[in-house]
Amino acid sequence: MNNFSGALRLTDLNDFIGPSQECIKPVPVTKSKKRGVVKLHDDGALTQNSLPLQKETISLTDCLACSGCVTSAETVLIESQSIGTLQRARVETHKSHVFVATLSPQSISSIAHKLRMGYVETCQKLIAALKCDGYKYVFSSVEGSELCHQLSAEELLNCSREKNLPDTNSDKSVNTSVKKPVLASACPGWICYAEKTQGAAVLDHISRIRSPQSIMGALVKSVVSQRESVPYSQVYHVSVMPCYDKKLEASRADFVSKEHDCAETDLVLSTAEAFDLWGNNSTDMMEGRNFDSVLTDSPFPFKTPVGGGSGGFAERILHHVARSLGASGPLEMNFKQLRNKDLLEAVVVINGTEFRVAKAYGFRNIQNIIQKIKHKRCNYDYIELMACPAGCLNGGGQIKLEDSGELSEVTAVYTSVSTDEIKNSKPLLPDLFLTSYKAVEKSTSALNTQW
Amino acid sequence: MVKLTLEATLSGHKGQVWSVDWSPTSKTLASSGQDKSIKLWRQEGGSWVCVTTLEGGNTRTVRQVAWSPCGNKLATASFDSTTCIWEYDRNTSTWDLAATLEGHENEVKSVAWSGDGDYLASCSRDKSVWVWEVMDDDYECASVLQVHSQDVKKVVWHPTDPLLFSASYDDTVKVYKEFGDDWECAESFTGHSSTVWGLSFNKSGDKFVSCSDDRTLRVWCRDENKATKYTCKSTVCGFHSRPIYDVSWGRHGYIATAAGDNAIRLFEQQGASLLLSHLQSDAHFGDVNCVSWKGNLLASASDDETVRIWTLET
Amino acid sequence: MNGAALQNATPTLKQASTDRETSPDDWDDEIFDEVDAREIFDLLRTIKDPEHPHSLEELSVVQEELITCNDVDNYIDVRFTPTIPHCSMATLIGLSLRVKLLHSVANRFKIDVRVTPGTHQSEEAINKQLGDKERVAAALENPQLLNMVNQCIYGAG
Repeated sequence: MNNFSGALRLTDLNDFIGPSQECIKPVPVTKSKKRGVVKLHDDGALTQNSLPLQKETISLTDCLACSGCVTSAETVLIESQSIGTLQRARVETHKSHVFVATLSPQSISSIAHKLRMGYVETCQKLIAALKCDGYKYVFSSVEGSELCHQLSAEELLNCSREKNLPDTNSDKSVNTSVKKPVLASACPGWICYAEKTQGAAVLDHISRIRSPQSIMGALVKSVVSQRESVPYSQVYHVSVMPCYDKKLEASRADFVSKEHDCAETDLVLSTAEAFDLWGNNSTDMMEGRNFDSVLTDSPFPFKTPVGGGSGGFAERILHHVARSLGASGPLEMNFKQLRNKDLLEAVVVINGTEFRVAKAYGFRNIQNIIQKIKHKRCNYDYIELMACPAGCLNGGGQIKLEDSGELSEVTAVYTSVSTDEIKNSKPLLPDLFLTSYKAVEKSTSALNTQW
Repeated sequence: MVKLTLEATLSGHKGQVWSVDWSPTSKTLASSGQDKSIKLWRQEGGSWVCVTTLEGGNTRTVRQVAWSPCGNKLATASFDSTTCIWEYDRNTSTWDLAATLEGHENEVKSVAWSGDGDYLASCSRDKSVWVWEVMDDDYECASVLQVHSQDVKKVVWHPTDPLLFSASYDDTVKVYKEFGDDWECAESFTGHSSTVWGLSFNKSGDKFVSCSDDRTLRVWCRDENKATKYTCKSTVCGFHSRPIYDVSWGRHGYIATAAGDNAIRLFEQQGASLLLSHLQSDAHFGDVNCVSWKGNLLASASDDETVRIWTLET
Repeated sequence: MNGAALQNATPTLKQASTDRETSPDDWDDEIFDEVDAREIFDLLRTIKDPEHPHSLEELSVVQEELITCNDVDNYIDVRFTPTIPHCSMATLIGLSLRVKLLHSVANRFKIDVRVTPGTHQSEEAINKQLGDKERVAAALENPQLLNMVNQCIYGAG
């Protein structure tokens, strides 16, 4: 399975383990108080005191916290976040659970291109298909992006270039405040790579604001459970994303509600998977369909943020920075290409303060940025960093394109509805939208060392 | 009658010597190995001496050392997962550590400068091949190519065209070309039945020979219609009894091989195939890891902790 | 070691062999003693399994019959038999065997260490890795691996 981003694939060097030996994660065994005799039966089954011994299973969350393989994580991933699992959940729980979905604008653009339809029509078609399929609410992840941009702007205004205070936090691998240049946190491939291969020197620069997907995750279940008067755990949240790595993101321990002991986003489908499920439904009942909104009772518009197909982080964040600093009028940002087409920078002066931002996509640009940060030669304020070359519209979960020229057509669909006037109310509990990163400790056991 | 005459045995390295490379601009030989150092050797007053030892760059075995085309820089690939760049300072006549390139996840196995010196390529057990753009003292990653399914053993540039070749534990050779502002894999060559340890081009670049753990050499000829396409025209087997770790195609046409049977063999082209012209049995007291031609001089590096210099006589 | 359960918790054990019988010729410096399979076996049989407190001889991982030694051609061939066909320790055991030989026998010998045919599901892959001198050399520069290998060879250290 090669759908993961290149950055993620590179972190997993399990070139030397046979399939049956893949997982090296030690499973915590709860010792039973009663002593007993374990018996091996002819068929290979093990029993203790005549009861079958429990088989330990490894969850994706275990895999993510382990420096071992991700080959087995892929297997677990296919199991836990597949169309099959979703369909089983639908069959088993459709009576008890309220099903809701969040659609990313990149996925919509990809499907629109495939269907040769406009952005708005495609939204309406998908909303109609989902509602017919029993989904009670269909949200746009742009609502989450917008919150992400607002909060990231505040974060950017509050952070210094270098942490001046001595680090008093005993647990040094958890970053407490972010340092400039602030790096976008929305790309799970990049986050996974950074946590598995980079230490605090890099992790301290990653924005602590959640990604749009996990901001939606933080809101959707509590909002829907209130509106529908059902328990939190009986809301089933499906997210449709351009990126396979998002499945990993949704499985992070941080994005499991501790209060309700339940994932905030139950299942992530890639664009291609979602297209298989809903793309070919008839186009009846499209009229008058709208996105629901998590924060208001009115429909959420069929819009994408300005600033390009990766979610417009750099541009929208500076837009909000300008508003906070009291600047009026539209923000003029001219990105100029640097060494390659996936590395762009812009310098803007807002009320006398200069801000330098960059967009850097693809693994090679991630590498160059990491090296510059490590050598303290990176003087940007904010970097929209994404693991896929050409950014998120080119994500590994998108519908396969015939040739690379088609990507510009997908981009055209996305930008046809781009706006810098998305408004939403500011959330009350910004802490809800924070997350943290932790360097994955390298396994020190020689038994697990690959050589 | 083709033969090799032993010119000198260079002692000084502690542990396996993995690599030798001749300076393109002078009769200086660089060697590297398990002792983490790089040694430069020159003929002074009739005998070969170690003129410089570079230490303190890499922290583990230096698997390969490579001269830049200008002769003023050395790149080293190391098991410590980095590539070090050493630069010669004319004013002080010293070699200084100019850069340490990080990014590979584990052992870097090979490093190579492009003919114009604008690019540096490196490869690693992490299965990736990296292309670095050289700009004065700055090295920027221009591409990360993850096409091999296993450990990548060797990177080699085409002698005249901007094409990069890599050989791997996955038994294949792959070729990469520029694609827009990035690089992409253009072809994959299969045929060897085990690890491909190295490859070497003839002068014009219309042929290359690859050597493998499968104890064979393969000769590949360029397709007339497609610059990146090479086809295997012959397999040379039955000569080597242990893995062939390196191959070097000299400008005079003689192909030297370094093998795990302590021997150096010389081949010459005969039609599409190769003819054994000379067998230097017991060239070293251990595996021969690397061979490098400069005119009629051949340098060899071995597990026996020495470098030897041979003269080709025809 | 981690908390994972042993893969083969109850291996079959074999009695360790007694020391080789010596003859007066062995002590005569004038007589050239060829290195033979038994000598190689004696070098290897005491190596400990990474997971068990037992020796590779007791576990029948190394057997004298599966060792070939040709003193004239300077060649040693060792086949080892993992206790179970999916043993994940097989490469580590092979590495320990190879390292012990590298440390002990004259460097004129060419050494091959391989899995006994048909005794491991990843036989080919393990043989390829153990036959790759570059991978072996790099592995021995990894302090954790080296420590583990030394423990297997020379006991707790």
